[in-house]
Amino acid sequence: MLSTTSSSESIREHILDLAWSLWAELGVSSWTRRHQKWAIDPEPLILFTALLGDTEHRLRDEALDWCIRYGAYVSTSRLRNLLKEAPTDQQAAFETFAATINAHSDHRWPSSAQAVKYKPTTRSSLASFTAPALIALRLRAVFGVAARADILRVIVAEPDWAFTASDLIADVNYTKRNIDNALDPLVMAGILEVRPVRNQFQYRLTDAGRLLAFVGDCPQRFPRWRPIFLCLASILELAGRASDLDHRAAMVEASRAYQQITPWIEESGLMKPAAAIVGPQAWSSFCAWADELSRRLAAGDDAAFQ
Amino acid sequence: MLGPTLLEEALLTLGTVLHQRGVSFEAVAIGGSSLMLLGLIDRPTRDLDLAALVSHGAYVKADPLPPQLVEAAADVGNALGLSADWLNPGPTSIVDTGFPEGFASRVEVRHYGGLTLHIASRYDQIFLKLYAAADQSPGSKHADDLRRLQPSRDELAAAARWTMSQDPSEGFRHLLRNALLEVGAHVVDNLL
Repeated sequence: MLSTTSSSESIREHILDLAWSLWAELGVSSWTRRHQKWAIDPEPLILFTALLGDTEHRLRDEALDWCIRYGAYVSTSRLRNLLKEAPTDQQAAFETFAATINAHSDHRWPSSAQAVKYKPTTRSSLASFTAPALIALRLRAVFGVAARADILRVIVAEPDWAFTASDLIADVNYTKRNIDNALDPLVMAGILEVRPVRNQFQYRLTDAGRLLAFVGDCPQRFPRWRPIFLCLASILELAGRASDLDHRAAMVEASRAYQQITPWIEESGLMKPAAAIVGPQAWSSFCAWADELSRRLAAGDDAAFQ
Repeated sequence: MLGPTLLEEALLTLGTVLHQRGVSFEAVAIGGSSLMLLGLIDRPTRDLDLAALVSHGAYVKADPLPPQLVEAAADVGNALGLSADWLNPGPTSIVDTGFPEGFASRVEVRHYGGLTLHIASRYDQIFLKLYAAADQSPGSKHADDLRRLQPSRDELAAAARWTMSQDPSEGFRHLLRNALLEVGAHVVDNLL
């Protein structure tokens, strides 16, 4: 058995701190707010919270409360699309979470599970979406809860970017068809310009300054939360098994986990480990990296990214 | 490459991981790495050959290896910096053509958590190495390994008879004769 309980608990604490702080930006009742300068992406956060909520009931209860109250600004289509690539345990946790929201609201989130016994806390409170971190909700309030708003969220994050519809899929999390359908009106409105490049259409903002002035205060950073949460879910899963692993198994599982999450680290630009996750030091290197990463993410520290 | 210490560590780690994942396998190991496990050679090897799996006491083909074993071996390989195929199905056709008589009673059984290895004995490795040396071009590692095993004349004679039973063709008889000469068996015709 491996003596890594303190390291695993520390990682879990940091990840919980991160979730609480992100929800606090959204208006959930909480003491800590450290992410005023980072854009919040509601659907990946909801899915991740459902997973955490299995053991963190207070966080789950406050997140449920927020979703019941502000769920009209959450995209059911995005939830469905994100669920498709979520790990099985996350899908199951979300279905119960969604069923509970459906039982207390008019929302129809994807679920075939039974709701848990729950009484809304009514503590969630949000005066407006003008805070920089709430850019995603603000754009939905203006452009509707549809692909168009999330396309603009991605464009606002990189105003000089020239992109195709396919380039947007990983961040917008709508189908390519939905994205194609949403790009046309943005071109017609003069927000985007389009030109053919080889066999594709390439889009870019017509006047970045004008759009940025219109949408209001933007956060300093737009983290790619989908791969970040997938990465953190894997870290948590391994940390949860740490006490059952002997030192050889821990070395292998750390190496395996890191290999699996490497694409998400690349995609999100998260900081990489100082030492390679191989050989006898694999477990300690993995734990040191995961602890530092989760601590920096929880603190809203830009050093969490490369 | 696998040296004796790294090979032992890789097997201990693999057995631990298999046990941790709630699965177990029994396999027959032959070839250079298994000779290393027996302490009969110490040259670095590329992989460990599994000629068969043991299922309910019987030998069955090891090709393909069970997915859970392949996945665990790949994970161990990654963690220890080994090649992804450090654990391989070996010449598994031997399950069809037949191991030397009494092979199963001579294996050395070693337990590594969820992995149990039936390691071919020195005597049987002489048979397998002679076959491999005949089957491959002169100067192969198999002929070197066979020399290191220092087989007696009787052992070589028995190995030659078994090898001929694997492929009785005249062409192979010629290759076998060359292999015997290569390992220093001077009165070859008495052996065949």
